[in-house]
Amino acid sequence: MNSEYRILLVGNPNCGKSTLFNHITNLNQKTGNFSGVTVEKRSSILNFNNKTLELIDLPGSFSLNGISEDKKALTRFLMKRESNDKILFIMDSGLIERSMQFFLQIADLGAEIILVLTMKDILEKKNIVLDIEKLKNELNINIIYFNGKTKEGLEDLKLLISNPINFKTLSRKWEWITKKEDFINKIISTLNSTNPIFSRFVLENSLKKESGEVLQKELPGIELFPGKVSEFILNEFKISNLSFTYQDELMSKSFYIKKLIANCITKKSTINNASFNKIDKILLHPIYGVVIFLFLMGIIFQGLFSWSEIPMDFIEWGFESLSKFAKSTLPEGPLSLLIADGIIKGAGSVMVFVPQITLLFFFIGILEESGYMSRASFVMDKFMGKFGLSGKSFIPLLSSAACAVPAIMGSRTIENKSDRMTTILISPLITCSARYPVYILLIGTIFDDKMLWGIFSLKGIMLFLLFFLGMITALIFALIFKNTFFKNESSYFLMEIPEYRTPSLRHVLINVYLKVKAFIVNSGTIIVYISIILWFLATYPIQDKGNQNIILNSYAAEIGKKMEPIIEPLGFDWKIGTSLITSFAAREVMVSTLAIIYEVESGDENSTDLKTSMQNDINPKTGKKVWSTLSGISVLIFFAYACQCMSTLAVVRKETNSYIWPIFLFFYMTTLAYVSSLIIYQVGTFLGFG
Amino acid sequence: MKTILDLKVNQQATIQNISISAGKEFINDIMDHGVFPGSLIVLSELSQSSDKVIFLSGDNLISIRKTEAKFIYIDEIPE
Repeated sequence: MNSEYRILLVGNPNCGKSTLFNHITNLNQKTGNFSGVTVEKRSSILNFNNKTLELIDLPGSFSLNGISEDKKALTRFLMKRESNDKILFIMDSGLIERSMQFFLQIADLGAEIILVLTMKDILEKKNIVLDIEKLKNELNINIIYFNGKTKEGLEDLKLLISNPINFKTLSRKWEWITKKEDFINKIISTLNSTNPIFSRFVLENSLKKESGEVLQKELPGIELFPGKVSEFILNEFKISNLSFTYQDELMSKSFYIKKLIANCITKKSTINNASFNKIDKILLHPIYGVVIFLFLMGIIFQGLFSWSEIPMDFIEWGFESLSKFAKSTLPEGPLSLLIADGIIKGAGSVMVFVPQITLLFFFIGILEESGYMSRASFVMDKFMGKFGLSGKSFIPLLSSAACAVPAIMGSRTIENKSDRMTTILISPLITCSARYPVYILLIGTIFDDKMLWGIFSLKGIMLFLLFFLGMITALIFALIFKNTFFKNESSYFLMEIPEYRTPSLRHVLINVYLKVKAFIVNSGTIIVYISIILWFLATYPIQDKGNQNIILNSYAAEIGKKMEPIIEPLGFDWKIGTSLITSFAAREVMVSTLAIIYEVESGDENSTDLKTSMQNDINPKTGKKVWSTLSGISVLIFFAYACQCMSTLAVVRKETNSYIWPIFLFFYMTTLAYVSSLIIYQVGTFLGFG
Repeated sequence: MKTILDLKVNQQATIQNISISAGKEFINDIMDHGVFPGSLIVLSELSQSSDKVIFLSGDNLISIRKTEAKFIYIDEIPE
């Protein structure tokens, strides 16, 4: 459906922009990415007063010169906006002085604007009285209050935006110092433009660039003027000996903003620390803050692990039952197998992640909405800084211990591109829950029930060491990536500590719904395709209908056998090779594959039959045990490092909007796994442990 | 020249200059947060027990690492 005009929601981060968008649109939202980047774009087609209009929620920013991906996407979008696009500028009324800088920059674009003021309650709490009528008169545009909690102002706002005439262009409000202003006016008077405001904006950018400012390449500069005009501007600029810096611009605007605020704010509290919650003395404390943070993370971690278990089991059971039902009702043949084992089980492997993704984004939403997320990043920054990361990487990395898929999706909260990419690339190294069934089976097979110092179980220590190994390796690789691929990317910590707010459950749940929907639609499709391919490899060719052990004659087993010369130096045989192929669908599939290969009926990680069969398995070539302690450790190390997870790769593909990064991830992890196992097995054999 | 690091808790100052050694991206970013020459800042008491510098600028509570704070020069305001 074509809209009559588009309304772009613009404002600083955490100004209440997305809350307003959710209130206006409810679930009538379309999520996608901005062209070429993985920055989320939400839009909605609405009908107000017989008018069809499109509302687009743009990423929050402090200026048009932001460096992160989302801020660049915002600038690019605004520079290429359509001529009849309107802007709904959302401003936190408790932070007018800072927010006005960005507002004036947007006004300089010559856009038609309505200003929405949010967080009125915080303004009142600070004992500040803002005269909205005076502000309207000063700016000569429509301004409206909106309360995200009570929805006060929502209906009036809908009415206002449904008529394009209510959006107005601001006349230029701020000035450079006299000499510079005169210079600009002189140039402008010689330019013949239909849009004098925009021409001025382009001219000022050109002059800032010529003065040595590094501006975003999306911002239009001198190249937009015809050759002769640009020559004239550059000549005049050289002669003038003037300099136009971003700092000068901010200071000039600040001069106007201070005057504006003095006129419109009738009572203002003096600058002091009293308005900030004393609780921060504890939450930002380097020791107490970390303890509280770790306690909260413990609860979240518990939630991701335990609370998602029942719905995950239910989903697995549901898809298993559906698969059986399809097999029993559909006529026997390849189509029934494709539907029951390929498509339905593939869809099940997507849906099984939904409980963990839902819980993770619910927790992240609550932490963000309450203002605690910034504090969490603050307290963890020192520790993460030692590995070249910022505090914001900690939560995605910790949630990787449950599953890398939601963790990689959760890395969207990291603004710094190099920090985000590093977090994505190291997340799969953290020991996830899918590795545990394999670890439990293999540790149980190769180690005895020994107790160390009378209290520690050897098997328990091995499990802990594997978890620790994943964590340490991830942090080491963070350092490596930050000092190689992302060496030239700037890394600093600058954060506003926001006021505490009561989270809006409705807003959090809408965001969770949209995230889960995006996962199912985008990453889910890739996972189902790969599942079908893996199912085909593990099922075909079917040589004997009555043979239950289809996998032994499958293409997967054939590939496993062909792989043997490559994996033999690691102490692996073809059976292990085959289970490595099938476990690419999901790591825990390795257990069921080994159970099928060893023809054991109950195939879980605690199965005594399976362990015994594995322990008794002799390699016919060497005459040695296939599952010796050394070869078992070699498999464990391989499994700890290898990227045996198609879902992780699918999500990395989606989140980086590139095929290069998932391919790189697969190869660097597989190489690490191979080399580590090779060293362990060969050195171990040389020392006589083989 | 004094920097933010020399401020005492609740002491007011105006920003005099941000050295280019802090990095161009950091300078632009902190200026977007309302911290540029002429801005009034107050060192927060939260800095006392923190590994970072926390200060008020306008209505915002801003935190930065000490590594960047040493490049932000100030003019103290006499009490």
